[in-house]
Amino acid sequence: MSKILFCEDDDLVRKMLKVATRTMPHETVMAGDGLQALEIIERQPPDLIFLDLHMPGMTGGELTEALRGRAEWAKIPVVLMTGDPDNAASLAVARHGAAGYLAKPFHLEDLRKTIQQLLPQIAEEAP
Amino acid sequence: MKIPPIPEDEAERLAALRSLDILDTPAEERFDRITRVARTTFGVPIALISLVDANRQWFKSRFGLDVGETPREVSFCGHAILSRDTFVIEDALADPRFVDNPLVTEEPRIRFYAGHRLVGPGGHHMGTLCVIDRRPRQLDPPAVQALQDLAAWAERELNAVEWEEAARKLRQSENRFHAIFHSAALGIALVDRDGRLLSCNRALGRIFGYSPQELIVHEKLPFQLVVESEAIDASHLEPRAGEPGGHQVDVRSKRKDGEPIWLTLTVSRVEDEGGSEHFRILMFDEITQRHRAKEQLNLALEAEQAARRRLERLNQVQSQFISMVTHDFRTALTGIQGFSEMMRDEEFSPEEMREYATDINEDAKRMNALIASMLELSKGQDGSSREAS
Repeated sequence: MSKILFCEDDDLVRKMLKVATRTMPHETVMAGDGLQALEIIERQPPDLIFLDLHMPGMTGGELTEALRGRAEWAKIPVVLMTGDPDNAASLAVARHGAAGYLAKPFHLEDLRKTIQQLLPQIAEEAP
Repeated sequence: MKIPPIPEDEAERLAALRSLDILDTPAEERFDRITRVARTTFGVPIALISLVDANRQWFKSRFGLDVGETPREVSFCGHAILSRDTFVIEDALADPRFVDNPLVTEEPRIRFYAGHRLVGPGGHHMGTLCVIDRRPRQLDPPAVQALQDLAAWAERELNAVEWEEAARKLRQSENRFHAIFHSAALGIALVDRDGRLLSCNRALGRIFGYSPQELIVHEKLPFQLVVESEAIDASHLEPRAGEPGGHQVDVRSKRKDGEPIWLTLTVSRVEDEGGSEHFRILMFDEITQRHRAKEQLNLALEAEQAARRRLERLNQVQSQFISMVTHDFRTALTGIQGFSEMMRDEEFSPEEMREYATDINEDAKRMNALIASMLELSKGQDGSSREAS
């Protein structure tokens, strides 16, 4: 089973994500900030990571760059979640080397599609 | 007969003679009394004050002669003006230069002539004072001296016109200078090189709040001048070379009543004939009004710039706030949208439904609070107090 890490500082959004992904055929792990996310990644690297772009302490962008700097983590796709306008979000994706972004607020359908795109083999297994 | 030669300075001499404006004027007692004294002193029948014009000699004063003028070429005086010494012909008939002169061979039948030149403007010889007799004579040294003394007297009378005119012009020029000096809007002070006050005008007193009497009793100017926070006195104001119009500097000072004033000071030096410094002229142009206007303008400009900076800061704060609020709205909407879509599309227990509805409600409250703080910001004109929020 593939593993997805969500890093989101807002408690309610984090809770919503946890509930929304409970029926998906993936293991989901939640982190409240960048440092927590790094600990989880070090213990057991996930297959896909969703990062809130604006977080206190380490931002999603900084964390993405940190991952890109480590060979064993460089290939893990990162999706930035942000309430920024599209142009700012695209810029952040390019600058930090992320796979894409999910504009807040998003439909759960879009979340599912993003996961399917980035984890296709596992998504196909799903009913 | 020898025709009198023309002097080397003839052109200038004639110009000087004309400048006296005396030719062809009526007889005057001040000259006649001299020829009268000469005739008596020497016991001669003829005494003249003769002025040598281009082609004639003209008599300003004559005793014992009927004609007012004679041709220059036959004149004795034409010869006499050539020399600084007294010109004496003891016996014209014994002198080849005059033996056939018509003035000798005919009336007035001159035998003896003694003339001394009269010096006019520019040192040129205008004519002579001369005494003439119809018989030969000799002139002893005391007599020569007497003739010279009388000539000196005539010379003074001759030049008196000139002196009067010069004195009149000087007085006029002085009056004009005085009028300019005292009616000038510029404060003017003349000081010697040690800064001692020689003279000053009324405007200076007016500018500094002193009466002219008050100023003049001070040995030095009774106020201090400040150039860029450095106090100076008049003796320190060095006129600079290469500034013929004077050296200019803006200075600050105080009126007698303590009121601050600003001035543009021009310092120039006046040299004596030897080229050393005679005195200094200090000219004060009061620029207090101009200075104040400039200061006010600067203050206004500064205030305008401060306002502009504040506005820029406010705009920045506002745009940061808007971006922050947008982010927070979208975060809250993410929760609302996610939970509501799940509640719509999925099966939950009534407890779960209640819990998620509470979460949605929580997000709704957050959004309400955000709206409240946005309204607060739009109410305030000055965003600086909310910079920290």
